[in-house]
Amino acid sequence: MTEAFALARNPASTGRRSAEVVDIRPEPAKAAISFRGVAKTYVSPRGEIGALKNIDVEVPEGRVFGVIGRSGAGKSSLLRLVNRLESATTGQVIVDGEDVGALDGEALIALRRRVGMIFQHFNLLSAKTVYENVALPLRVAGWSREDTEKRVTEMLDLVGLSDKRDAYPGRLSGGQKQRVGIARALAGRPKILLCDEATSALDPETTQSILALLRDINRRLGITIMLITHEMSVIREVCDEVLVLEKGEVAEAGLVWRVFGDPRHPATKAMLAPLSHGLPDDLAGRVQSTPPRDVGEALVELSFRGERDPDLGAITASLGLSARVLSANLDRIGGHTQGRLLAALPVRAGAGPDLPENARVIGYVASND
Amino acid sequence: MSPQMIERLWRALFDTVQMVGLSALIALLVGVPLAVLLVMSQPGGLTPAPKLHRALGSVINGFRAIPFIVLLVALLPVTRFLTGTTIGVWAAIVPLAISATPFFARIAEVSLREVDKGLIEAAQAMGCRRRHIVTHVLLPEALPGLIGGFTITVVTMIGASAMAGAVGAGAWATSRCATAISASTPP
Repeated sequence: MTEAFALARNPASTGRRSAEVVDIRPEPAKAAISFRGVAKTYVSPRGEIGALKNIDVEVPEGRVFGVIGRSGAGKSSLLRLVNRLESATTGQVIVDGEDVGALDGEALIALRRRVGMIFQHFNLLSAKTVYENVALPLRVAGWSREDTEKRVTEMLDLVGLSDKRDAYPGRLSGGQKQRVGIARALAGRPKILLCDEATSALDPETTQSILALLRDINRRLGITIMLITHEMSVIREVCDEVLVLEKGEVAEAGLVWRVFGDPRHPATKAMLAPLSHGLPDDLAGRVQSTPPRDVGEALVELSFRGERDPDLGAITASLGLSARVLSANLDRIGGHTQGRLLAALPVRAGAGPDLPENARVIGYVASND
Repeated sequence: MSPQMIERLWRALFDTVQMVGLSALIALLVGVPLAVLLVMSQPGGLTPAPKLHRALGSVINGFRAIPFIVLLVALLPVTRFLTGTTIGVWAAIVPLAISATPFFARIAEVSLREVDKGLIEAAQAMGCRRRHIVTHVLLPEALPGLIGGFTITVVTMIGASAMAGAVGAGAWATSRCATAISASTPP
């Protein structure tokens, strides 16, 4: 916990996925949350609307599990099934070994106290101070005054807001509000933390510091985090596993570096598109799908994924010496390199270039002259 | 103004304050729980009970639709039963409170309903029971609106208390005022 304090107080040191954060978490032994054949339909005056279909997913214990999808893909419903803010129409949701759908009032309250939740719009009580906000879950759970005082102080230390103890939420910045939200969610020592678009209302810098805090909480306290977002960068930054949700169904799921390194579903590809570099504007307008009749260039995309870093020798061997590099991009996701290199190769008279397996032609441009 | 008249005006003022104050207190004590019940029982509320919600809503609307002056007369038997009289400060409190309570309950209901759903969701997510949600979330978050609504209610009641005097049913204040004024005016 002390290390967590230090990190939280010094956001600069937690900026990006840094090498000194050693991941000591054991391999996940079991699932913290399992969705078994879950479907959810809403009844509206115009008929039934299917929000979720055939969801069979396990969220491993102690990991950061991300759910990404476009607006209306059902992410929010999926997250709310975990603490039964919404109920599944069919199927089971098992959280911490209990079937959430079968819990009665008291058991549900007990479960909700073991599952923390933070929100896009923070949802802090404006009539209560920071201290009272963080203390509320403990107060309603019947903690003694001394224990509450001790725990709240500890939590405010963890999120680096000890000096804002008696401030009202109205006087805090977005990032500070979310920190209070996190302190409140973690006050009751939950095993699971649900994040509902927790960084979507924050600026990029604040987003980084909140994500760093979440990662820290996961690493050092071992809390399982399930987060939903529509931003690929959030997934890339903190998640171990990702689930891509499209129109209420699982499009793709797995380890982040695998899914992002080799997106198969069109929805994943579409969401990844803003992350990859496109063609330079002057070429983009002239791309054609067939080789030019006389002299021109083939636009070749070379992709790298997996364990080894690409070396220049290999690239030259693949593309030859006359290739022009148009754009290149490498990313390390969870210790795995994935990248893309876009090059233009001279071709002539209707023939395509000879290419290795990891390269593909995305189009041709005819020479200007 | 003669000293007697000033004295009468003071008495009248005191009566009005007493009348409005007591009825407002009753409206507050009954109106807030009524408003909470309305918000909780509404479809999509914490304990949806559509039938109760509709019944309660109709009764409140019914009382609100009756002009105060009509209500005043219609309630005379009730007033007599409760206070044993149909004139005087105590007799005026009954119709005033009965007309102000639904009025305030509706205003309070609107304030309570405007509390961000996200806050209620957050409270549920942290394991709050329904009563915790009412005491820690709904009422404190709606407090500014409730205070504003109560002020409007009190102002409306002062107007109504004068009306009670017009039919001579109980508004001691205005009738005394009227007597005082006519007595001091030379013929």
